[in-house]
Amino acid sequence: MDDEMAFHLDMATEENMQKGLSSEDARRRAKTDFGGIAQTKEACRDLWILEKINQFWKDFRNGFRQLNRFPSQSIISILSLAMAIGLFATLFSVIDKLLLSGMPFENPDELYYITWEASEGGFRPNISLQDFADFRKHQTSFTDIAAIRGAYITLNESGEMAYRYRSSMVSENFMEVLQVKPLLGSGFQKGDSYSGGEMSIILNERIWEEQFNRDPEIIGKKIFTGDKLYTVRAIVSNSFRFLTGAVESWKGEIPRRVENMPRNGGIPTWLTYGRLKPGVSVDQAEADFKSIAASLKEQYPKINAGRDSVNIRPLIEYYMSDNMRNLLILLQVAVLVVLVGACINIAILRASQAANRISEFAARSALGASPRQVFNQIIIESLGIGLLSSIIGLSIALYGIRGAQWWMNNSVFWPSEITVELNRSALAVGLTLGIIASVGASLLPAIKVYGLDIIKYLREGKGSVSSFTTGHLVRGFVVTQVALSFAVLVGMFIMLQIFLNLNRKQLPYDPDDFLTAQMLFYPTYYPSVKERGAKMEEVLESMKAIPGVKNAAMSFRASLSSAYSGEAIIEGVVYQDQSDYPSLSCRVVTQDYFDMLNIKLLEGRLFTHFDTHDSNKVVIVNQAMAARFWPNESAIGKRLKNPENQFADEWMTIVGVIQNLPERGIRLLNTNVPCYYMLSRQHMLALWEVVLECRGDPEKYAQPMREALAKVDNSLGLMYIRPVKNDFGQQAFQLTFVTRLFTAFGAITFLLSLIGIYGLFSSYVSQRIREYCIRYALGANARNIWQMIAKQGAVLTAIGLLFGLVNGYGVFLWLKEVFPLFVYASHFYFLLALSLVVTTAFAAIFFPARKAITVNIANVLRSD
Amino acid sequence: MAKKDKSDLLQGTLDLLILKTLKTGPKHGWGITESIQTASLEALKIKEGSLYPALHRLEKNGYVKSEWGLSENNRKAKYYRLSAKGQRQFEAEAAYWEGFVNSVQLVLKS
Repeated sequence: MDDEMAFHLDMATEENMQKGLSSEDARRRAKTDFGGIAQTKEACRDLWILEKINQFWKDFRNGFRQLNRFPSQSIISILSLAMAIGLFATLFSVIDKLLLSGMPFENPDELYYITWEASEGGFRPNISLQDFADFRKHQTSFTDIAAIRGAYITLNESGEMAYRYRSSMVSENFMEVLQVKPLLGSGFQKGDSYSGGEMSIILNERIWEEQFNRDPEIIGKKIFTGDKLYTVRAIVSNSFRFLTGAVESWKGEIPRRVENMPRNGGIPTWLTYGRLKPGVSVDQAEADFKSIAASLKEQYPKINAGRDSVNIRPLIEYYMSDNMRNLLILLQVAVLVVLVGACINIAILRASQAANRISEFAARSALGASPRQVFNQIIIESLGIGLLSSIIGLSIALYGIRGAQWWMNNSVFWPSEITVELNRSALAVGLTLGIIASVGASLLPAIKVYGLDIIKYLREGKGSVSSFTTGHLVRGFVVTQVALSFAVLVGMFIMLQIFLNLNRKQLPYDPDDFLTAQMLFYPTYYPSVKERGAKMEEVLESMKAIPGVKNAAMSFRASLSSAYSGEAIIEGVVYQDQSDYPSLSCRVVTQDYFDMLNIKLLEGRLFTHFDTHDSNKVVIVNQAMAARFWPNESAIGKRLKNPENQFADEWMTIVGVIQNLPERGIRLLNTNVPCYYMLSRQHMLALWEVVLECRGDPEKYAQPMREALAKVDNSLGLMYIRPVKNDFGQQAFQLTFVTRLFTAFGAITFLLSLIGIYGLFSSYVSQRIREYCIRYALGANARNIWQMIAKQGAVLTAIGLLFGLVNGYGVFLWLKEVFPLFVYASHFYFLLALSLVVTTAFAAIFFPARKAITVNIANVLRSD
Repeated sequence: MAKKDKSDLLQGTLDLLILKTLKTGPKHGWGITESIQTASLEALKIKEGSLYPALHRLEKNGYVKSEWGLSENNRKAKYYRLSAKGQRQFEAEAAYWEGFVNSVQLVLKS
């Protein structure tokens, strides 16, 4: 435009000069005569912009009309891309939340815990209160650090019955570091717990309700917790759980302890955690703490000997095992791979579609459409697919998130305050990849069309654009798709099996029927085994008398869902030192424990009344333990010692062998761990788990349980009363969740693969329709054509299945390694997967083949 | 009544004049103004601010096609030529114009 106007001005200037004007005047005159040059240019430009908008709209409409012309292919492309985008955004968001689950705090990724460097055994010692105080004073990497350790409180507000609750001793900044806002009150106050200040406590909603009937005036009230008077500073929600849900109150004890503690030792039992300052890396923080540790070591060479290195790790580790974390991260990667796979799938489909339609594009060009218009049309069609898929994908993601949230809300074990939100970056990645895939795939054919010699093409037929033939690519992808689907199916079936096994409860009892609580028998009150044993019997009898309670038993420290770890000395085995003792699981149980839980006796006998506190000590082992230590003989009569308890020197004789139970909880990487069971009245232990077998909802027995205990001894209190299924649920939660995620992932991936296989096969067949028609024309009949197509399809499927079998076996081995307890070889899954893939492949061949057979040859050949 | 300049063309007339001018062969913008001016015995002087948008509009509608070439004095210039569609358009518009002028004449002379 500029050149055109410049030329005009030059010509006018020249003419003016010929009329006798000076060059300057001639130019000025020419400009004056021209009028507003800029306005003229603007007017011309506007014309073209409007034209472009119109053209775009026309191309856009045309593109969408074309999508409508090939509805099945368009639907396949749109649906599979949308599902992949939806799946990716949903699972990515859920997993992202799950990775931080159980940490219902603001910015949980900033929270870290601090320990001393791990010793050789991998155990990382906590920090002593003295060291904590020094670290807190000198460190600069965290906004602040706090410390916590377990404790108990006893409350008897009514004066009728003592209630015991799990508590923690915490530093006064406990809540600030976690950034938790209480329901009521504002948390510990300045000066609290220091000398001269008040001793203060934070309670949870449950204690507030049970003891204070939700008294709105509770804040500031002084309560007696068995040893001291504490001022209530805040009430926090029941859903707030820090490290364990069992803790229901937090005492701000640390400042006074630190003040009164001499700097000459201290037990390293305090979990120290903090919130890293923004911009400070873990390495920087470790360096900071190491330099403090070095100066502490110099100052207290005796106490801090060997403590020169500090470990700072994400607090999330307290909530989720490394395995689970890795699995989830792996799942996130898998979802991304599926998205990329779906994109490639669409890309191939689109590319082969475009290749098939090259005659159409050539015809359009011949009818006057410019190459640019044809190019635009292809791009806009693809953009349309990308956009539609994105919109549907976004809806799928939104509903998926809602579904996940619904499921979580209906799961008692999911911390209710965790809300899953659509992860925006995941959605952005999904949408971008989707659009890139659909547009990118059409780019190559579109560019080819742009430079296509139409006349040559129309004259010479399809041969001149042989580079468009994506046949090999499609074949390769059919094989890959079949292989992938097979492997995914095998994986999904195994996951389903794990899930069903979890639900089938590999337990001889139904955890839904049991209520459990903790109680302490102080050695000071019950100094002898006999007295304590008698009191325990009395408590159990009183509980068995509760109407609706079928049975009652106790197990030392451990809940039903997992035993505790202990060592054993097996008679006849020579141990060099303590570290050689085998690490096993063990329990100390009351006589009725096995009967109540319906545990199967395999050999020998269970505990009886003849096993008293002063008779020979007896022990029962599980099958795994018997098999491990006495593989070729009976375990009955063999002897072992428990090196950890107060009767460590006494041999215990094995009297029975029982079935294996998941005594280390239903956790990942659970193995069949040997376990032995000691009899309660032969050992002197304080903290017991009381278990009631109830009729109906176990939770309604909480109050009768308390009353029954109060009848026996008003000073004893029950702590942490909860249904046993909660324990199982909490343990199984992550596994159940991951299993469900994997199953959902598998199902959707499989569906995507089905769509992919179908799309690819039908594209493969339709690409060759012309060939079939020529064969028809040359005398082949429908049967020949069908056989030919079926043979081609079968070969591709068979090659795919061959790869699939290898992949599927790989998936099986991997899952078996991750979930050894749950995964066992079964031809069933392989056969099921095989039949599903073969059926899909058959359908994918059958329908396009039918189309090929019934096609009107004359039309196809004429259209060519 | 304000004096009316002869060069103020009736709406739509400019397109007709351009098409007519291009019938004799391709011309650049300057050449078109020159031709119209000469043919009208200097009575019609086309304003550049009207000419170029009109040319681009005709091009957009497919009545003229443009290409770059060399002018008589060897300068780069954009040449416009009549397309087949433009030829048909000219004939239709010229017939309409003739009919219109005749009708106006009849009224004026009555």
